[in-house]
Amino acid sequence: MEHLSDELLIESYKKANELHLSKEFIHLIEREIQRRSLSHKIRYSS
Amino acid sequence: MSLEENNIDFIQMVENSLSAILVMHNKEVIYANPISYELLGYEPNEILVLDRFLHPDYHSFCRKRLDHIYTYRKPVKLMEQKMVKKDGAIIDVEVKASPYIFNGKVLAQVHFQDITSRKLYEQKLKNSEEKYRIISKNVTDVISEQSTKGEWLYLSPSSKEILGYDPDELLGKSPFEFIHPDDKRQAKDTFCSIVQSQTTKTIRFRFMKKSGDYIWLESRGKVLCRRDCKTVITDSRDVSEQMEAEKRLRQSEKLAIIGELSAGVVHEIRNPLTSIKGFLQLMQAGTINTTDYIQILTTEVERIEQISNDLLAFAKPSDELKPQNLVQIMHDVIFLMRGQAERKHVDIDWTPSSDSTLTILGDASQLKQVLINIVKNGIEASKDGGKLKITASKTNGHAVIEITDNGEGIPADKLAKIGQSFFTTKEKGTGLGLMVSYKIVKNHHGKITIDSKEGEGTTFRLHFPLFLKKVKEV
Repeated sequence: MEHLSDELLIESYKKANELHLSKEFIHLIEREIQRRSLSHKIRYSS
Repeated sequence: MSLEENNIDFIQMVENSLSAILVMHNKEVIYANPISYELLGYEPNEILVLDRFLHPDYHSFCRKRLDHIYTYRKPVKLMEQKMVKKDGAIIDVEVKASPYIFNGKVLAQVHFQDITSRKLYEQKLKNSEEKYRIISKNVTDVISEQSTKGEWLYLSPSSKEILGYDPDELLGKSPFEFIHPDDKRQAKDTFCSIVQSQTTKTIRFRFMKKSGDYIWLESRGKVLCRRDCKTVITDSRDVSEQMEAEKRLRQSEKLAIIGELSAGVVHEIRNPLTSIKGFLQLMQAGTINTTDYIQILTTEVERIEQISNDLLAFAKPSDELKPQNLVQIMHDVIFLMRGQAERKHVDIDWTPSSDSTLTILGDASQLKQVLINIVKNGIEASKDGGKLKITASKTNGHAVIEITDNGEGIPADKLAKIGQSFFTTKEKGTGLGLMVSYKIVKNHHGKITIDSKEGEGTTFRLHFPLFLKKVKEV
């Protein structure tokens, strides 16, 4: 997960939500987004 | 100067002689010197009757000997016989007799000595020899005497049964020829230190039997100083079964640890799995460029691989001593234990010394078992949100790992009991974990020391001798 670019991470997050992938997976991405302090990006877009 | 000129009084000499002298005519005693009366318990000049003072077992035989003297005028040989004293006590005597021609008559002069006490000592010696022989023949240990250089001077007959060799086959040889190459140096060092320090020491090593198989021997050696001669007495026994049992205990304790670790390990594996599954689904949906994700999938798979490799390497039973980097082993252990520490919110503070390698001779799996055990204890002893400090350093030719928790500490009275089987301070512990750890460390010629202050925490220190590549052959 750490090797993903910021854009790809946000992109993955959106797609995972759209496709209703498992909560655990979405949670993992969320944690990585938080770790990179990118939370504002997903809040704006969703 | 002739004897006559000096007029030597032979009668007086016979009278004063220490050996009993009788002169016999046919079956009659016609003269007896004073010591004869004394030995037989008679008053001087009492009548001595041959059939009375001679033990009945010898009557007919002595008659034949006397007849031989009278008929052939030749002496008879020295012979052991029994005589009966006046009070009925039986004495052992040594008798010899020769003809004595007097006024044309053939008499017999009989000389005898009391050898009762000598016979008694002989019997005692024989008994003790026999006892010694029976003991050395029946002991299950091999008892041996070695020169200070190590060569065998004596081996008990039990060597045949235990080592497969007759004692004669080994005399003059050195035991080190038969010791497993991996144990040889340790055995030699221990032997030298027994000779130098004159203390008793016990050591375990593998010994090659005549059949070519190795058995585990436990030998206890001690210096024996006899007059000017210094030798080493060793008592060796076959402990192969005991070693096997200890190995099984190690293995079952290890499996118990794996069981306890599994929750943490599963957690470690679940995250990468969730991530892999999620990204695969994203790739399947086809909305994203697949190649972007390959790197992530690879990393996650590698993580799972490392965890499973670590666990497998740990679970595998082994007992091979090889040079190992203790720092790397500590790394691997911390990697495995992170999950468990995180669940208890214990922070592991791991600072290896400036040297990134501390090479010791050991078995990686067994060393991990000890470290996991002590790290696990440290995590369990820590308060929620506590800190476990782990360091590695080099001190006095030893690699030292220090593991400090800030838990409750161990009361002084319990500290001494740590490492004994079935002693535990934990509610659900068996006490076997630390006992096994102590045994493993001991097998690695290291030691565990503990410092603890109640209310402040506990420090476990593991000391292992550093492995030096170039060691002079002894």
